[in-house]
This record gives sequence, C-alpha cells and structure tokens, in this order.
Amino acid sequence: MTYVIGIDTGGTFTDAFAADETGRLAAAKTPSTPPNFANGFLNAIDELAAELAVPVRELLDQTSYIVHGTTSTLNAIVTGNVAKVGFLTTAGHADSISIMNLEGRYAGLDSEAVQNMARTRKPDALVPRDRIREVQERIDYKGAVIVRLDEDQVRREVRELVADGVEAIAVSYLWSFLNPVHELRTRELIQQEAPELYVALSSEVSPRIREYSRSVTTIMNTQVGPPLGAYLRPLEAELRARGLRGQLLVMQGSGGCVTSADAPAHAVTTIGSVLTGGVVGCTRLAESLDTPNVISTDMGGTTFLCGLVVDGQPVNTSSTVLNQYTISTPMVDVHTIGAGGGAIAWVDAGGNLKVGPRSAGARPGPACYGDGGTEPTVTDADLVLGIINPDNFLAGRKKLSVAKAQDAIRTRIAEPLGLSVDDAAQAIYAIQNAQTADLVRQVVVNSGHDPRDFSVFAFGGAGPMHCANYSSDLGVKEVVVPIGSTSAVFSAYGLAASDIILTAERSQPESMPAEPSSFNQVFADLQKELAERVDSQGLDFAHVRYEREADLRYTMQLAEVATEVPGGEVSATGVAAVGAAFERNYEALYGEGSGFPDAGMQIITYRTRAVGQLPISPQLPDHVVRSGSPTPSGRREVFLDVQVGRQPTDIYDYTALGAGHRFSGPAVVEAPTTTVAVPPTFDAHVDRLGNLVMTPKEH
Amino acid sequence: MTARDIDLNLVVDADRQVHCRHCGEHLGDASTEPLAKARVHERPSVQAGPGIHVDPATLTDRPIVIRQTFCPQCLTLLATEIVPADEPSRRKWSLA
Amino acid sequence: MPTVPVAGSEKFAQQAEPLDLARTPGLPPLHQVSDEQVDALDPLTYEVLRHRLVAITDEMGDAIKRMSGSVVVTDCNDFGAGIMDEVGETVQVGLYNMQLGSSLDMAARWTLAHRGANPGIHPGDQFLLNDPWVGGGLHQNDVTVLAPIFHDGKLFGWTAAVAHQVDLGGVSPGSWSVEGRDVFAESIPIPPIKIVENGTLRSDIEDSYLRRSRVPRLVGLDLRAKIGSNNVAITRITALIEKYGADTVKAVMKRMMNDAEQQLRSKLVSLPDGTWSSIAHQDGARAGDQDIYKIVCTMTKAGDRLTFDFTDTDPQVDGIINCTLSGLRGGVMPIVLTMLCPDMTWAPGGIWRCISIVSEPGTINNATFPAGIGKASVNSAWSTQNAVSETVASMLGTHPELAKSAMSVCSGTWDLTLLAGLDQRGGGFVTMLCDAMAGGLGAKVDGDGVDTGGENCIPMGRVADVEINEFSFPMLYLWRREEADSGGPGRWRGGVGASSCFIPHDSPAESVHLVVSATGKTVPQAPGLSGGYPAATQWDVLVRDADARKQLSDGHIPASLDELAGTVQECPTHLETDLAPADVYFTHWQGGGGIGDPLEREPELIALDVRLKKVSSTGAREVYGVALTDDQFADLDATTALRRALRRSRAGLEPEPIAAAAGGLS
Repeated sequence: MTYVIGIDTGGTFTDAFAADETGRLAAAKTPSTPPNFANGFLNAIDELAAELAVPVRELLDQTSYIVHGTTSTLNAIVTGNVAKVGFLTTAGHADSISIMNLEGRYAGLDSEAVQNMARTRKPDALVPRDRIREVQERIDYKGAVIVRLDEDQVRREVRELVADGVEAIAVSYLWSFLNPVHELRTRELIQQEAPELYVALSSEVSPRIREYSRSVTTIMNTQVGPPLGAYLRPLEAELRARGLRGQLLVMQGSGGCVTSADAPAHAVTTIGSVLTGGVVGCTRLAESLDTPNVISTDMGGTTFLCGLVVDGQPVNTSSTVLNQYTISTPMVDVHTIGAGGGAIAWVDAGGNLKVGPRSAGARPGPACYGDGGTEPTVTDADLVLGIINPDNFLAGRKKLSVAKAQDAIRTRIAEPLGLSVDDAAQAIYAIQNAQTADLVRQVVVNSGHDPRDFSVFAFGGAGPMHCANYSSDLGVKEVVVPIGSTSAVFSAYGLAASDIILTAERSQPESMPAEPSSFNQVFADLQKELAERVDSQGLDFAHVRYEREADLRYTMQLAEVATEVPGGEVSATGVAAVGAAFERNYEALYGEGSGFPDAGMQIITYRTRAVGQLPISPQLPDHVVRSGSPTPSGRREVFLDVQVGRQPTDIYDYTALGAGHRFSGPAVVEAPTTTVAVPPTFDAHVDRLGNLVMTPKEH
Repeated sequence: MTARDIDLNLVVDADRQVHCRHCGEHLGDASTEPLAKARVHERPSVQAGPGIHVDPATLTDRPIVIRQTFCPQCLTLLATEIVPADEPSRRKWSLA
Repeated sequence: MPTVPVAGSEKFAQQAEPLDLARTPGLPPLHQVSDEQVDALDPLTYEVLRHRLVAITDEMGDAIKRMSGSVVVTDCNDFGAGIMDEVGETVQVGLYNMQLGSSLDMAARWTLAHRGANPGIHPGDQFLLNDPWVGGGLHQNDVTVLAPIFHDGKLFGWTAAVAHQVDLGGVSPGSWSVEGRDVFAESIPIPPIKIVENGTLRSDIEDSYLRRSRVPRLVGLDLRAKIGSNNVAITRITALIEKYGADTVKAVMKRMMNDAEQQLRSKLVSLPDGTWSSIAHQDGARAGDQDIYKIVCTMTKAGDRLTFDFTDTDPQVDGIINCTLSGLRGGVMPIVLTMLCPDMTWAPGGIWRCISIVSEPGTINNATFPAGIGKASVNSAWSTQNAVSETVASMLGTHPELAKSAMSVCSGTWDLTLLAGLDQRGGGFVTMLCDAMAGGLGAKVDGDGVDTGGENCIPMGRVADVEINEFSFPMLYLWRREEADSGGPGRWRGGVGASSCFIPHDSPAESVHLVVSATGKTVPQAPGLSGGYPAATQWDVLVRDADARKQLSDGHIPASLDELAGTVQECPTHLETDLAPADVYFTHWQGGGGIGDPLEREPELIALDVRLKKVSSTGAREVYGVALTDDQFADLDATTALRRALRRSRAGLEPEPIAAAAGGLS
C-alpha cells in the first residue's frame, strides 16, 4: 500500500486527509495545539491511522509523502516571534523600508479605514534602525558598478551585528537582481566572519525590480526562515522516528509545495500558504468535474476569501500585501474581502443599516452561540430566517439560541429602524449577499473576466448559506458546494493532491524587442536553477513540466501583464511573438484600444515555473448513486428570497442524498459540516462526487 | 456654556473663562479675548530651530519671526507661528 | 502691473450655488424624483444600491489607472472620479485626489447652463474641459471628461473622470510657467467642448486638444482612459436602473447626499459654536518674485452650519500661484471629508449644503481671468487647505472624541521637480518626480504624525521606487531618505518628510532640463497647533560643479551636501534651469506640523526620535530641551535643568536667579 497525506494546521483545527493508491480515503479533524503545532500534527496522523485501521508505524512507513500546510510563518510574522535580523543595504537607501513608498500606511485597509485618515498608521518597523547598516556600494540601471563594494566596511558591520546578537542577515542592494556581484561577495564575507548565520540575498530571494518590495520580501524571508527550520527539523525527525521514510513537503503560497529541507531558504513563500489551500482544492475539484473556470469562495466566521481558477489554472499574482507590507512573492491570488458569518450588523450615525466590516470572530462570536456576543451577526440572521436549524448545527455539536439571535437583532437593528425582527434579519441577509456580490464581481472583473463564464465553488462554514444568493447577482452558471466526504477537510485534500511547484524569476528590464541571445540566456539561467532544485527535492516525479512567462508592459503604463513564453530557444520572430501575445492579453484584460503601443513596450521580469507532478493523485470517490427526487426530512418556514419572503421550505438531510438526486428550491440541505440554502430561483442536484450543485432555474 | 477642554493646554469653564490646564492660571474670556493675559514673545525665525534651513533674509526683505504665546504663570507654550512680523496675527479663536 | 480683466470672460466664472432651474433656459429634459420618493426608500434597498454606487466609482478609478500612461495617475493616484445627479450635485467621489473631486459639480452645472441648447447635450456625448473657472479641476493640467447619463430620453445624471496631465503646453515643460504673469503664458484653458458625440470620439476636437501638448500621444491615451472610465460607469448605472428602476436609483443618490448632510449637521451641532481664524502664507508668485502673500480664513460654526470667510485675503498676483473658486473649494472639501466626515459616505453634494463660503472675486484664491493659475492646485488651493485644516482641527480639538479625527497641517505644499530632455535610450521625456508625495502628516492629539505618510488631499498616494525612476529617466540617486527635524516639534511630533538627491546619468544630451517650484522657504507652510511648531521650511539646493562622480569612482557615496565640493545654490521658490552632468540636485520636501508644547514631550521619546533620526540632537536640545548621553539616551538631570532654562529663555525672560534655582523652586 502507498499513501499520501495532507495536513493543514489552522489556528483552531488541524485537518488531515489521507488516500491510498486504490482510492480509499480517510479524513480527520482535531484541535490545533498552539504554540507547539507539531503535537496537533502528530495527533492528526494518529487519527488518520485509526480511520484507516492500520498502526501508525505502518501508515508512515508506507507514506510516499506528507504535504504540510502550516501557519507557522504567518503566525511568526503576526506575533513578532521572528529571528533577530540585521539588514545590509546600499548607502543612502536605508529608509526605503520605512518610507514604504508611502502606500504602507493604507495597503490592505478597507475604504472605511482609509477615509479615517487621522487613524491610519504604518506598521511597526521590520528591522530596528540600529540593525540596518548602509554599505558603500552602487550598481546602476545597466548593471554597471558605480561604487565598488567596501569589503572592510562589510566586515565591520557584520561583526557589530553579530555582537548585537543577530541570528540572520538580509542583504538587499539596488539593482542587485541585474548584477548580483556585490550581494554574492557580501555573503562570502559574512560567511567568513560568521559561518553559522542564516543569510538571504535579495538577488536570490526575489530578483525583481522595485527595491522596496524586494527588500521587504528578503527581510521577511530572513525573519521566518530560521523559525521555520526550527519547527520543521524536529517535526521531521519525530516523523522519521515514528516510521516515515518518504518526504515531508511544505505548502507554499504558489499553490505547490517544496521539501522541508528546501523550505526554510524560501520561507517567505510559505507565508501565504494558509490562504491557498482552498484554491488548490478547487483546482483539483474543478479538474474532476471538468469545469475550467471557477470562482473559489471560502466564507468562514471571520473572513471571506476569493480566488480564481481560469482554464484549469489558479490565477496568480506576483505580489501581495501582508501587514501593510508589499511582498513580491508569486502566489495564488487570494483576495480577502469583506467579512464572514461573524460580520456584525449595525446602524450608523445616519440611521443606515450596515453589515461589516467589523466581525464578532470566533470569540465572542455570534449572539446565538451564547458565548457572550451581544451584537447581531450574519449568522444570527441566518438562524432567525430559518436557514440554520438550531438543533442540527454542525451535526448537533453546537447548540444555538434563537432567542439570543432575535434579541440582538431586535435591540440593535429592528427597534432603532422601526422594523420587525424578521424584516431586519432579511435586510441583513440581503445586504451581506449584495456586498459580497459587489466584491466578488470586482475580483473577477479586475482580472479581465466576466462572471457569467464561471462556476462558483463555495465552501467554509458560512459560505453555503449565502452562495446561491450572491451568485445569482453575479450571473454565474452554477454554484457547487463540496459537501462530500472531503468537505470538512477540503484544504487538506487540496494539499495531498498538490504538485511540487518551484518558481524562479529575474527582472532584466529593457525595451522590446529584447535581444534573442540575452532573452534566451535569462531563461536558460532560470531553467538551470530550477532543474537543480527539482533534483534536490529527492522525489520520484511522474512528470516535470516547465512553464515560462514574462511580465511585459507598455512603456508608460502601470500594469505589467504576465505573458506566456513557449519553451525552447527563441528567435527574433519568437520575441516579437511574445510582444504580440502581450498585446492580445492586454486588450483582453483591459479592453480594446486600452494599450498605448506608440510609447513602446518593455519586458521587465522573466519567470519560469517547474511543476513536478507527484506520482499519486488522490481521486475523490464517487458518491452513492440514487435517482429521481429525494424525500425531504422535514419542512419549515424559511426566508430565502427578498421577493418572496418567508415560505414553507423542504429540508433535506444530506446523508440521505445520493448522486443523481434532483430537487428544486426553495430548499435547505443540512449536512454534518454545513447548511446549504437553495433559493426558490434555483434547481439543485447531487453530482457524482456528492457535491451539491445549484443552477438558476430557466425563466 | 459647558465647561470643556479647548485643546492640549487650555480649558474653558462654565463662565466662559479660559484657564491654563497645566497650572490653572486665568488667561482671558472665551467669547472675547481668550488669551488676553497670555505672554507673547517674538524672535527672528532663524532662532526657531534646525527646521529653518535658510535665513529668510536671503529670500525676502520682510522680517520673519517666530511668535509664541505662553501661559504667564507656568510658561507652557500655547501657540506658535512663524510669520512675517509686519502684519498683525490672524490666528485667533472665540466661543459663542 | 495688475492683470487687465478680459471683457467677455465673465460667462466662464462659474459660481458655487446649485443650479436655478427656473432661470436656466435650454436644459434637456431632466429625470427627477420627489422628496416623498426619497423618504420612502427602505433600508435594504438603500444600502444595497449605495454600496453598488460606491463600487462603481472604484471601478472608474481602476479603469483610469490601468489605461493611463501618466506617472502622476498610475503611481501617485492623482486623479478623481465621481457620479453626479441630474443637476450636477456630486453623489459619490472615489477615494483618490479629493481636490479633484470637489468641483465636478461646477463643471456639470456650467455645461447644463451653457451647452444645453447649443450644441446640445445628448445620449452618447462626453464633454472635455480644463478650465478651472468653469470647474472640474484646479489648474489647466487637470483635464476633466464629463458624460451625461440618459434614460428614457431624460438626463438622469453625470459621471466625470479627471486626471493631471503631464504637459499641455505653455512656455515651460510641464505647463508650470514659473516666469509667467498671467494665464496667457500658461496652457490656455478649454471650457466644456463636446469631444465625444453620440458615442464617437471626434478627431477634429481631439487634434485640437492634443495639438497644444509636448507629449500628445500620452495625453491622447489618458483621454481614452477617461472616456473609457465614464463608459464603464454609464454601463453599470444603466444596468442598475434597469434592475431597480430609475426613480429608485435616483432616490438612493439623493438620499446619499441627504444622509451625508444630516450626519454632518448632527456632528456640527455636537461641537461648540465659535469662530476660529488662521492664515496661510506663500512666498513667491513667480520666478524672481520675493513677496509673501496671505490667505486669511475665518471659520464660524453656528448651530449646524459652517462658514469659511476669506475676507482680508490678498488680491490676486502676477504669477502662477493664484487659484479660482474651484481651487478654493478644492482646499475646503478635502479637509471637511477627512477630518469631519471620516465615518460617512463621501457625498460632497450633501456636505456642501452645510457650508457657506465668503470670498471676494479678485483675491488670490478666487482669482478672476486672466490671472495665472498654473500652480493653483499646489499653491493657493493647497494653502487654502492649510488654513482650513488649522481652523477645522482647532474646532475639533474642543471635543474629546472628535478631536481624534484631526491632524495638524500635513505637508504644506507640493515640491515640484520637473525633468525633461532625452532619456538614456535617446527618447524625449517630460516628467514630474513624484517623490514629494511622501510628505509628513500632521501630528494628532494623541500621537505623532505619520512619517512620510503622504498628502492630506490624496488619502492613497504612492511614490515610485528609486529603481523605477532610474530605469525610466536619466538619473542616479545619491540618496532618498527621511529627514531629521522636518516634522514640526511638539508634545506630539509632526511626521517627517524626506529628501531625494540625484545627478543626471546617461542622458545623450548630457544635461537635463529642470524646473523647480516650491513655496514655503521663508515661511514654513505646515503650521502646528496648541503650541506645536510648524514643520521645517521647504529646502531645495543645486550644487554646481560638484565632485560627486569623482567621489563615486573613489568608492564613496556622498551622504550629505556638506560632503560635496562645488558651488552651492540655494534655490529660490521658482527656478527654471538645466542640470549639467557635474551638478547635484537636492530636494527636501515638507513634513507635518506638531501639536502641543515640545517641552511636554517625554525625554525618552525624544531620545528615541534622535536614535531613529527623526530629530537631530541639535533639535532635541534647542527646541525640546532634552540633553542626551553619549549613546543617545535621555540624560534626565541635564534635561530638567535645560528645560527649566529654555522655558524662560524662549519666552524672552531672563534666567532665574541662581539662588532660587538652587533652592529647587521652579
């Protein structure tokens, strides 16, 4: 038997998923064990073994690889439990990371926060001033050395930093991505002075133009690299002691993973991984269902995450905002928009009903949880409207109080606005859905696409209660709610089903057309770098493919657009073809005539991605087949649609549904892990994998 | 009139009288001249500290001063302006 | 010589009052709703549609940013987008340059009043204007494209997109003619002209517009960006009307303005009635001018009404720094929005109803044609904003909660560095260096101002990376860094500004043309409050025949002006010159004003400021009265003595008699 395992340690729960090569699956969900998340990890393995009815040692012995999605690097950044870092940079530019190109004051903040200008501020400094050292060196835009590296000075600075107790040094010099000679020499000098220090060079971590992001990315990498290593090494040692012979892999924000030995050097790429598991799961599910375009939506208690899959591939971004810092790490593009089920409904000073952006989170949580929350939330509205069954929430694991939900809505919303509690709840529900639709639409449109070409996949605890409503506003083709055997551990399934993805990139900005010889040389360098890393993973890949792209832009315009580059040597004609492809992509994204070719084109960054397909690809099992209309398990008054109001609604028990069952809204499906609202304007059926699929009724 | 703080340094009481928050000194009447009893002192702006990069005399014929208003008792600085000396001060306030 | 008024120009002087329908002939049929319809809106419909309209102005902004080729748009967010109702009242502005969102209404009203009959306003039309007497923008660089929205044959509303264009003619590149005395030396304003007719961009009018620019293809691209942005808004609003009905959508628009008005009135009522007055100075109306001009602002709050009275403001000047009424309003609205309305929808149409303006035409911030206004946005409009900022913040200071929305005056003006010539690839270029966007924000009542936090009128500004500037333009930076002592001292320190210092690099023409323009060199323009000091003065320096290149090749990057040989030229306020290969240019823009007595700031905090290079040890000693140990921690005993002495000397008092001091009495 050969197994693959995916383990996702979240803040509250650790989700685990295992599959063997015959298609047998096991899922486990166990509480996370901060601050030492490794315990929760090992507990989850024990539970998987129990599910599979094999001893833990046997499971591990026969496991080909474990893919681990960890929040440890994100937690480290957020809590400040990071390595003590020194920063070496070009003399005259130490303030780049404090000036933050100005945008650091508001990056990632919503519009309410931005309007409240006097209350905005920049985040705490990444590196305290006394650990930033300005080095005499300078390279220009051509890569020419303008000021030679002062090696004696570097030695002095390093000695002082070491005396100050730094554990790691980040180096970021201007234009180093074009000519890394000074950064490379600096590392040699550091290693001579202090061989045990962790060193990261910006020309290796993120060799891209725009020094602010590059420096920040390199510093963060240096901060979380040592702690990640300190977390993974003992974990791996323990796993080996328990019988693991295969690889421990770590998920990255790119949607692919990397070996645990390799991960600390690229630790910054793991920061976003906690957000990407869902999108990766969607990509696999989309593949199984033969759905090329998916809007992935994950609505939890606190946040709403939205990502896109287009033509079967997740949409990526080349930079992201973390703690108001902009980091230049290619990642799956996940937007945190709005709030989740815990979004608080409130009345503003003008007597207007608002929903969010503040959230009751998990503590105290919605009023109906009875954990001390007094403000009405979206979940409270869902309960009052009859969508949630208070006795059958999370398969009865949590009892909800309808009275508390009604009280909160009555006192905070209904009475101030002169509405009935029911009308107030309906308004909260409808506003949440309309806002969500606006924000999802923005994500789709800003990526140059039309929502009508997409399916929505909705998961997360609160998502399925709202997804049909906000999707109908978007005009999508269908809404798929994964509530099969993997739904509770959807992200962990995504991990186990992922590929190894390694990315190499480098900026070499110049006007188009680029010289074919230098164009090919950059890609050759990237290829070589990747091939070495692929080998060093020590895995038996079913297949390795290389994908090449370049970021181009029209000379005076803002947007760089990633453009596909075919494999192999490229001639002058080929370079011109890349330019033509850029122009087509640009128009598709931004509209006809939106480009300005007269100013010329520039090629800015070259990028190659190595995708190593792992030998086992867990397949989701087919659901038990039924046909015709299922029998409802009950009936109650539910509000599902503003036009119709409350109406008698069939309730279905998911565990009694089979693939092929069809029914029409209005309906509510109660499943062990979630509840699905099927409005009267939708039909529903269960697909072969057990997902609930809703499609708008024909008019 | 409701007693209230005016800013970091001044408070007005129910009778519209303005006092220094630091030492209680009476300074004036909020509805007429709130800082009637305050001490005002002017110096050339080049004495205002390193924030004055260039002697304004090289750029203008008009005298530029730093004009500061103090509580006469505790000498807390209540107002600062850097202005041409040859015009009356325009920075005032009063409460209805 | 005072500018000679131009008879016949009066019709372009748009006033701020709402349109008087009864007295405006030639209007197209207007879609209107009754007050009852507005009141009948239910909370759900209102909130859903309100959110949708806000999303639409966001989409407009995204569209402009993506298409524009102008660095000030793409990198600095220097543009505006708005939606107006049928009579031109502004319902929603996007979170971009709030100066540019303030007078879209004037442009719409003027167009309604003057173009309705001839040539007419029809579906598919769009009007272009850059006439700040009419409205829209604040100076000729701000080009507005205004589009009517029609439904069922009636004019439903307007959308507008406005953005700063790098060059639209005039005698100096960048169109900021620093030696000019009136508008005829600058780009000639264009009042509303129908540039898109029935959906088609008119080539003759486009040519006429672009003919005046040194970079016509770039400006043409931005034109398409604005037209495209309006089209996005019209499509989305039309879809909204089709789904919810025109009356409902319009009722929501009216209610958004009513709501903002109501909320602002309630907030004003909670503040004490009173009068606050302030002054803003600008030094130098044009190159070679050494005079100092004043804008006086007396703000009165009575009940739920706010009046800004600019009586005693100086008459308009021969030069480039005047602004029109749209500039004056562009100085008022950004402060009202950020300090008085941070917690409500930004619907200027409703907010203006709470505000009265008293201002005499012919003054420097309400100038009559043909006054020079090339720098209106960053001069008299911005100085108006500074004066308004002081009065509003002072008023807010009297309320324990609302005081938290106030800031001291932020960076007092824009520091222009305009470069033109041949870039390293041999192509011609004109650009405004946008590093100065990173100004310091004013201090708050409970905290320091944000260092290099931006500009008050652009809540989401940006600066380009040094590498992007060096890649795009023939320049090499010696440094770009925050500057100690640039934030106004106080109990709470104003945010620091920063400086850039660079040399020309690799231009085939060797030299690069340079236009420098920034007031605030004699009188700092970001005053403090409650005793707080103003931020530092504006400081721009040219070092001619410096030895920077030699130092670089010798292995050293100069780290201060003192390290450079050569001839130091302190730049006057306005200067047009060339930067030769051996020259160095240093530009130090402004920080924010402080709040409170500097002697009240904790000594440990000052010591930290010094270690972090926000304050120099000189500044610490001379202004804050803090003495430091050798390793730059507070020497508390020495500080107590120093502060005791400084408290007296700064007030013009003799030092205490020694006996009293030794006795421990203070």
